[in-house]
Amino acid sequence: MFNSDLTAASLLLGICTLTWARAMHFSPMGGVFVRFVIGILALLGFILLLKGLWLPEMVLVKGTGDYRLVLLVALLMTFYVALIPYLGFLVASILLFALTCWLLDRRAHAEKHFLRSCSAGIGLTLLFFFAFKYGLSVPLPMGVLWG
Amino acid sequence: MLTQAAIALGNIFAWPNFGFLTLGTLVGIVVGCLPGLTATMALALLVPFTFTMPAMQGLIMLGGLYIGAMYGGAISATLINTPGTPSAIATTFDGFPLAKKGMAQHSLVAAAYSSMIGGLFGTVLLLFLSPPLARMALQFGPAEYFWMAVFGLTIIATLSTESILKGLIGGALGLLLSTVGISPIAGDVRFTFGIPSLQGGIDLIVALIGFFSLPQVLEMVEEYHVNKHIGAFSPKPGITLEVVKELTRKPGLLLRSSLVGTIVGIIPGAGGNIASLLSYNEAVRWSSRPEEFGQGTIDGVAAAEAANNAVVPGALTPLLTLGIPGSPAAAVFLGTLLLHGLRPGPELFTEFGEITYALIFSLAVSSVVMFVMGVCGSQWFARMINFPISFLAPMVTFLSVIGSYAIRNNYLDVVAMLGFGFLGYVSRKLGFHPGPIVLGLILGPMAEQGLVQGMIIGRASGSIIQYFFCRPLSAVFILLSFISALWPFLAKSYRRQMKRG
Repeated sequence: MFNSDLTAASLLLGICTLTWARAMHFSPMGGVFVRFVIGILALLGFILLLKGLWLPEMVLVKGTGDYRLVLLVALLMTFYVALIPYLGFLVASILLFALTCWLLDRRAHAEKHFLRSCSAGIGLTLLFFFAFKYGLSVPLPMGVLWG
Repeated sequence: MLTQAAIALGNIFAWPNFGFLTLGTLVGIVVGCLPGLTATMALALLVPFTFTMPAMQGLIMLGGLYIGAMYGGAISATLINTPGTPSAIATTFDGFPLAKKGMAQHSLVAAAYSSMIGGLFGTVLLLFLSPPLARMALQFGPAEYFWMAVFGLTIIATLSTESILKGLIGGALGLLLSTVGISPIAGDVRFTFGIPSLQGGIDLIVALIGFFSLPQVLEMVEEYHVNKHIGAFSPKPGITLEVVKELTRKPGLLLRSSLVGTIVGIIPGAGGNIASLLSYNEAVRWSSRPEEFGQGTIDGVAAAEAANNAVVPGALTPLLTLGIPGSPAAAVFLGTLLLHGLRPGPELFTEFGEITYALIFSLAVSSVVMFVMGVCGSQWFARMINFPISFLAPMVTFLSVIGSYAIRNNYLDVVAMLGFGFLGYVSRKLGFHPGPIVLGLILGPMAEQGLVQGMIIGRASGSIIQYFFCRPLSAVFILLSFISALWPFLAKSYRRQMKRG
């Protein structure tokens, strides 16, 4: 359990301090709206801080959700985006499909889904790749190894 | 005029015009349902194909595509909680909860039906009231835009079902995010951290995909050990009739939403996203059961979809009558008109009346075609929620990457989308709904430009306060903002009194 109001209020007041420090250097007309918004945000953050102290909202971190799996998938997404400039969109997407299907189905003891989901995903990746690149002429991210 | 209109109507149904209209509508639906591919992008992609066509055929096809794309956004909004186009933001609020209840087809049929009504209503207004409405839109100055943005921000009170304070914070955060990049008047470079790509600001679609789709993927993964699918859908006969009957019993909801959509569409710079949010807000306020909104009610879907499709004829009104493209999509239409040697203005309705009326009627006819396609396809689209999450999770991630990259062909947009996705997931856990954040991001540029330009004009004319507060249209928006902001409290106390009395 943690006090979500206090966490959010601290984050907000931190953002307000940082942005205000930068907004000090803006011209009067370029900064008027920014300073106005930061002022409102700081005021709301302060109210949230007071609420967190008197009427806190507690959030259960470990509920029914599988947060370890969420973290793994979030890491996988990050690797996917990081790999695109090297492997190219097509290869990185095929890897994403294969690894996500494997990770989810293995963890949920649903191995029978793996082959079906994975092959459908790879088929879909190829379909979208060719449809976008050659059908619609919409460019997709290219990689060093595979354009 | 009547003769030209009758000839134009006949031409639409003639072969191959009707075929092109149907093709345009179908392509629009497909493009609209893919997150990140907007109606404007689809129109721009299709324009080169119209070079070799006669002007009428090309414009008819583009009209069908615009209408189809507006509806298409509702498909992904309902099935994967990701608005296919920015105009479908408000559709996610009730569309996805309906899908989770196994009522995805109800949501899709409601979207198709209300989109058709919105399109037809807007077309009728475009036909008969376009000149006075376009002149009214030109009365909007910086002060009116500023107050309109403030009025739009009061929707936060409706969107924040859990905590109004957190909703307001979300809205203010969205406004702050909207200031990233070069400032509109003074040219200051703000919060770019030395990254040149950020000078153009944060793209709305990138933020939209990040805030809506990736958190949804992570939430699906979070519950995967309990639920292997988003919901369970099994087609049942009679859903279309049931939904159409239910919505037909609510003409006020559909007409009000269509009117909001048409008026917002006419105002240059305000698009389908603002229209659908305003209309959703009005639907909540006028409903006798406002507590059902956000939990999965077809009224919420209908309000958003009727408004965003009514925007299409609305956006074409200032273009066709005054030659002012009020939206990026209307600018593509302007380009197409000029390519075919047609100059917007009064001549469009006299000398080139047959072509212009064909374009206007094509919006109405394609609304009907879109409804037929939407209804026929709804039970097939709805089956998507039966797909295992192990397939849907990477698919949504993969589509999110395509969508965010396709906007500006910029890899940094993909990175930004990923960042917004993680931020959206954490903020949901802390009780912040993405709706107000995105609302702030949409209305921020309009509010800032209106405020700064208004201050400059006000200073030059003697009084800033007088400029912002004493103009008739500004006064209307100030009054509306007050009513809208206080409405949840007024409605609550009224209901309490009704219960007592």
